[in-house]
Amino acid sequence: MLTPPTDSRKALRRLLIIIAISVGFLIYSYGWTITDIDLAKPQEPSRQEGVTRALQELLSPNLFDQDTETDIFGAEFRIGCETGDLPAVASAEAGQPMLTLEPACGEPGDRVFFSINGLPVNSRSGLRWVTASGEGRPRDVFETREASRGRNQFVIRSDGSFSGYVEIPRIVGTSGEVHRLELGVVVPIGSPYPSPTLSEVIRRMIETIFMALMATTISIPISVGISFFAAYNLMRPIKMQLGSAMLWLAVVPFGYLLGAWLLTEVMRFTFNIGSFHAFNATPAVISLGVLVGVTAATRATSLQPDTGLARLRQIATRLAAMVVVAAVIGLVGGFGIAGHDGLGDLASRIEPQGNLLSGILNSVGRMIGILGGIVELATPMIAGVIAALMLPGLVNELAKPILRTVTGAVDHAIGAVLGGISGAFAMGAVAAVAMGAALLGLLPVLVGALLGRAAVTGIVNHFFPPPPVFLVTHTGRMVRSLVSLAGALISGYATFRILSVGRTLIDGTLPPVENGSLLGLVTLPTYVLTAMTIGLVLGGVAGGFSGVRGSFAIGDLLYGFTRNILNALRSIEPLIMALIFVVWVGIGPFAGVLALTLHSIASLGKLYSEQIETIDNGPIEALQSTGANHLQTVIYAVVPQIVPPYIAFTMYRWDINVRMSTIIGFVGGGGIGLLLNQYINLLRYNDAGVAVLAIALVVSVLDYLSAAIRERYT
Amino acid sequence: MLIIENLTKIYDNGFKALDNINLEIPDGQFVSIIGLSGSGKSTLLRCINRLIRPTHGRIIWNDTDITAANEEDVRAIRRRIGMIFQQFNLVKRSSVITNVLQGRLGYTNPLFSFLNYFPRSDRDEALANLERVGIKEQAYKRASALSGGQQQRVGIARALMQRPELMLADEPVASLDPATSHSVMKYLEILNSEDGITVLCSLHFLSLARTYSDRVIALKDGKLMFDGGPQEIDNARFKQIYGEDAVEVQIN
Repeated sequence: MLTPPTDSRKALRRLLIIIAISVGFLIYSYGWTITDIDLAKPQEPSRQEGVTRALQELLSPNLFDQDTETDIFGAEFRIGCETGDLPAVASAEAGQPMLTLEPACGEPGDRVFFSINGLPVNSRSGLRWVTASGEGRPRDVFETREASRGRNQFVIRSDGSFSGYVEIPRIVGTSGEVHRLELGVVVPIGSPYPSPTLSEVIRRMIETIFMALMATTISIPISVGISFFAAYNLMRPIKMQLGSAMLWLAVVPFGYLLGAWLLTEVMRFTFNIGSFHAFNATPAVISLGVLVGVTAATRATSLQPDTGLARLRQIATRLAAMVVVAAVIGLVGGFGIAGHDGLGDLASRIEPQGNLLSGILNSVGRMIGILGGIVELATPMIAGVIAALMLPGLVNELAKPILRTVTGAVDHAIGAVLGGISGAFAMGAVAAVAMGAALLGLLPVLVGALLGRAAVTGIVNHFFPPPPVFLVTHTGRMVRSLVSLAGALISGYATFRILSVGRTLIDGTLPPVENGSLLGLVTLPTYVLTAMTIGLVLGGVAGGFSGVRGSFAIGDLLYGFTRNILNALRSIEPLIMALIFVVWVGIGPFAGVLALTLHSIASLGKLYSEQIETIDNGPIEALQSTGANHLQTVIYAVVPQIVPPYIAFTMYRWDINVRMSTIIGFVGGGGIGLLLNQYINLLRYNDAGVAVLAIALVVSVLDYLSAAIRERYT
Repeated sequence: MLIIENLTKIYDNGFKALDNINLEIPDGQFVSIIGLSGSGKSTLLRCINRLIRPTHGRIIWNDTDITAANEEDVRAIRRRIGMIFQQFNLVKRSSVITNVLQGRLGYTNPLFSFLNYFPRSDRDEALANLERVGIKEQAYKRASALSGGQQQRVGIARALMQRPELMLADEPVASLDPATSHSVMKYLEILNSEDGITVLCSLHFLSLARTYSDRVIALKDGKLMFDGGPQEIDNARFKQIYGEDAVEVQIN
């Protein structure tokens, strides 16, 4: 029953609101102090002058240059009027400007009137006083009508005349000497041409746009793949039998090792075929046999899934698919190397050297060569990952009939074994990572806590089986989650103590690398072995009590894992990432591309997955009802729906990447930012202005383009 | 023969959508399921192909216990149960023929699906099924370019690709105008009479149920209110199913 609030409660609530607002106000006002907001500083004359100059130069970008020559007009002058004659006035050629002084003699400190006519309009000019010894110094002009530009520089007005007063310099002991006043007029010759700054800025701008393009294109396939795992509507329904999940974890390391061992051979072999290198024929025969096997196995498209033969065929198909995938990747990589060699060879034969066509051939060759090189470098890893992904599925296929039918003690025994093995592997893997850095030491603690929670939950559910979902009371749920939380905390703390993570965190001592041996079979660091023992115990308890027949929300787990990693990556600005990559690959655009790629993967992964979450779920339901499996549902019901938004978001990301790559150079990431940073540090604001102008232009053009393209696809 | 025993579905939020339903549907019947919105019609249909997992009870179809089947068996069972939907649930950006071929996915090797490959025989069958529902000439248009009635016929063709023995129709005409409604219902009737496919069809309009079905089942608040011939529903029964204030609307 809802009762209307009493007056006193109302008053209390209002008081609380007022207090909250006041506290909020105080906190906000502190912001004005901590950020140094200050009215005095912008008013200081020196700062105003500085900013005016900087802005003036920024807005006077050094876009064009023009060659010039300087015409010098001179007039002689004697220091001291009392001795000797006045210097003779040089007679000018007809129609030429002539500089006249009035008077032509005087004492140091006097002001002398000068004038000249017929100068080129709007040209720059300056005055120099040249002594008898030939030493010249610039002079300022008083009472002139000409526009002053900069120090001691003047712009000739539209009537071509220049006149004013100049002060005779006070130089001791010059009385009686004849000096000269010289007027230099800078006259442009030839037509204006783009300044070296402009060419450099254009070159860097092209580099910048390509940096953004590379980062975007490289990140697309990766983030498309990831986005499916980060989409809640796709992942939530994916459940696995608990036994299968544990079996999966237990088999993955073996799959990786086996794959790295066997499939590497296959990949090396096809790689050599692709790159026209020598190869031995034995793997060829085996691969051919496998290929024939695959074709035979996939010939019949209508399978009756319940027969033993069909199951066998399915296993054979999967094995073959695994080999084929590895072989194809190897072959493509090999083609890359061959293409690189071939195109390079072709380019070197084209005459003349260094023309456009050979340039194109070389850059295409370089691209596919690098892609092939990636395959060559990562062959064992790719092979391992392929097998690690597919082998557990196979083992599961074989173990399914057993896992599904076991009951009672056998169920729990298998659970304990599988749980122990998978727990040990999980802890072993994170412990190996944890040996790298102090903060990573928290990973085993986290996994230990999760395993401990699973163990406690398993025990609780074993002795107090949970009621059906709709009968769960609020209290019941609370008690259960509190107990689980306690289990997590206890086991997490125990892991923390046993692995002495505290030491690592406080003084940065990494775990010792001394080795121990596991039953005399494998040698591993004792730290990893300890962690694996913890995993074995906790996983064994968890698996033993829960058995293998329950359902495990593997989709939820993968979703949470992917989302958290994406969010963490996204929260690190590309500029910070670039700092690390600059250390790794050196200053230049490659570092910027890597940083932008990493950030784009996180960002696009999130945007893409949100698009998947908003699709119409009707087609998914329809395809499920036809008996399509999960993968088929994604291919036919999800993919067609997400193509337009994916294109739109990719354009948007490219747009962002162009903006980002204009400044990523500030930390050494290459592109125009690097140049802009240099200009600013050298106080060359005229040149910086060119870079700023280019950035503004390119960003707004791309902004418009990407908006136009996005509009077509949304 | 489809046997439903003590079927109960309680959703996680505690809502009881189905309450102890017992039914026996012989092969080849055209059964209409009527009832108000929220009376459990959709839940019942979705329990039969296990899009929804029932809380209690069993569904046995041709001696297979659908409720006890594992994931893989469920897919094998679903292949033989066609389903059409109120919102048609077509992939709107894909072509009509692709939508129809998708009915064949349960029989297709998943590896082929990566390449969007269907055997020649499947393509021929898809065209034949489109011809059957009278829209063969639309085969290469986008699904979104078709009218509502045509889209629902694509849905029927898609279900036909499964070569179903049982057809579930969840409010197939609720988004269509009266004339198109009849045309869609007629196709369902033809499937029932010519191919001997058992049809379970949930409907809003009693008049449609009367015209097309051999048998009418009425649900109210998840309970079975009525099970009998279409002519047995008189005014009293009608008010029992739809509530005192309801007035029967004819759709022609």
